[in-house]
Amino acid sequence: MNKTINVNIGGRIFSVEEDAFAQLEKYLRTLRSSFEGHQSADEIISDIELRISELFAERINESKQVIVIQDVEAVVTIMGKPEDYLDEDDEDEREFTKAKSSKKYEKRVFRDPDGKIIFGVCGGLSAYFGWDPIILRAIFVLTTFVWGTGPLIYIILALIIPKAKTTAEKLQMKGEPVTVDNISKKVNESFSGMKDDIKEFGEKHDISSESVNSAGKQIGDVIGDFFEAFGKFLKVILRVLGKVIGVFLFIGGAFGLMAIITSLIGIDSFAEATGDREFMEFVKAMYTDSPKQGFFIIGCFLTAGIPLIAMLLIGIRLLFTRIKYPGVIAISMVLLWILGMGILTYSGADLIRHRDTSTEFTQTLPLQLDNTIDTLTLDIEGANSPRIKFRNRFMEGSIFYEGGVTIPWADSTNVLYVGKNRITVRQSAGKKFLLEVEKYAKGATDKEALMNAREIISHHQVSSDTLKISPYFVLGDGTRLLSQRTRYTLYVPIGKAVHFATRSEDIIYDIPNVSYTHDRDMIGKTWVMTEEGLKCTSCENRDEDNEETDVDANIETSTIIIG
Amino acid sequence: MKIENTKAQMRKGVLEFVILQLLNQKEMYPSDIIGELKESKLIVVEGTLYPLLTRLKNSGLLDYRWEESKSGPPRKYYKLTELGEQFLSELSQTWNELVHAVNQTTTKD
Repeated sequence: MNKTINVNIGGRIFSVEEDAFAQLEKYLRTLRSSFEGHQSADEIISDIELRISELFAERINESKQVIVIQDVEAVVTIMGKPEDYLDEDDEDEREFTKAKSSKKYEKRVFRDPDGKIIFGVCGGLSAYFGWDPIILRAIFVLTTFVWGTGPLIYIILALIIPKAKTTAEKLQMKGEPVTVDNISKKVNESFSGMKDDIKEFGEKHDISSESVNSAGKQIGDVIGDFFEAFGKFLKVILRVLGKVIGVFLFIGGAFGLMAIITSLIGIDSFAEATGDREFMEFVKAMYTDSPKQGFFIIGCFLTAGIPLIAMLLIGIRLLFTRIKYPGVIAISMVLLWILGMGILTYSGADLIRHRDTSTEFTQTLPLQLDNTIDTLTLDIEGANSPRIKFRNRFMEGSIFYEGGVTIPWADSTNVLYVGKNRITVRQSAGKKFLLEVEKYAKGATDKEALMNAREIISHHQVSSDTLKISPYFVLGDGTRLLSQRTRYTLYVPIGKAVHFATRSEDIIYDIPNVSYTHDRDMIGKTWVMTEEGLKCTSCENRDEDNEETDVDANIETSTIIIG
Repeated sequence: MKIENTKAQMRKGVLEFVILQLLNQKEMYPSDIIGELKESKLIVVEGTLYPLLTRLKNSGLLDYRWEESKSGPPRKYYKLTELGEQFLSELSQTWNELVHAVNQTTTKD
């Protein structure tokens, strides 16, 4: 069952189905708009309507009384598209049709009033070049930040480029040929817009026949758009910025979460596979019992993870504006974050409680040396430099986790914390070389701290005239991190000397000497202990030093002259 | 240069001439003219005719009268005016010259 409409076409009454009627009306409307401004437009249209009524009459008989959409389509095929109607030889209308036809097949730049955000410049240009308007918009917005040229160029373009008003112009803007199909497509897109366009065109045509105001109208157009445009301009900047920020937030949030989950969830299976257990080992080293460990991990996840999840969600929201989150999500996230902070605060306080006393534990080790030797060589123990063995992490003052290394004297092959040993040299009060080791750790009580300090494992060895000290100390499996550190002191009696082997650079630290030579310049040389301190006996670069001093002196002199 | 444009141009020039010829023989209403023109394949779509008739009428070459029709609403019957007849005889002359010229140039070599 279909609804029909009774229409009077060219003096005949027809029953036309609703969709057929819509099609017919559209056809006649586009026809009329293609004859816009033609002095005999009405006459031509009524002639055409007459003919259409004839053609319809031929299609009606006893058994078929209603005009259906196929009839309309057939008639449209017979009558032809609006562009076929244009009579280019028409002398009276020559100028009009010529202007129309030259407009018709050329692509032209218009401002796009339908897809506009401000004035439709980007939309129009993009339609002309066949780009996605977002690209141009982004360029204009970004050039705002470069030299502010974007908006200036934009305003100039807005004044230069005319607005696409009629459907024909909108099609031209996109470079589509002005055919009835395209026009009807357009019309379908904006049925009411079309009406306005025809009306507007009529008005414009009247005005342009006065032919004075067209420039004024163009400017008026722009000014008319201005107030709406200004708000929209800000909006588009915010929107494009929003998208950019959205992308960053999304990527940042996603990667951050991945990293967190890898280190937290990766506690066993994943971390085992990748060998990256540092975070977990760190947690174990901080807290001995597992409830505290779990508590701490949850705290970490909430405080670090919630903001990342928020970033991710905000990023998604900015990118896909349709997505909306219920308010309860924001509230619960804030609450969870506060909870996380609370947990971390509690865990932190717990840590501090176990570290509020610090104790040094000093051990003096007489060296089993042949006392006849005059020069003791200081070297490091082990074949490899610790920088190679532990990659680049081997740093002053830090303790780091190292799994799977074999350290023979530490009696442990797996979970180890490695810290850096260091040694300095002092004058010995007696006649003998002495080695002193200070071990330092924190604890809840003095007793505990002392116990912790004793757990530091370090190693050295002496052979005839050489002292080899391990460049690192270790903490065994199950030890907690309690700011452990060590300090070796070698006491050298006056008259005896110490030679720093090249590799000892890794352990020597702040060794006082009479020439104020830096640690790294002391290696490879022999230093004798005098009343004043260590003095270099094998240094040949005295001249160099003198030169340096000379240079300094020169500079000073010249400064004085200037002064 | 597109062949379609040239064809259309030639057809358009001739179309006017043919319509005037047809109407010189007898009064006709648009559907009759369309019938004749379609037979001779001078027009593809019917819409073309109406602006043309209106223009010829506006320039005083044609005139029309309304006539009752048995099968429907009144019809517009077109006929040549005196000016139209003059115009046609001049066109006929030009046409003959053209035909002559075309024949001569195409059969020359």
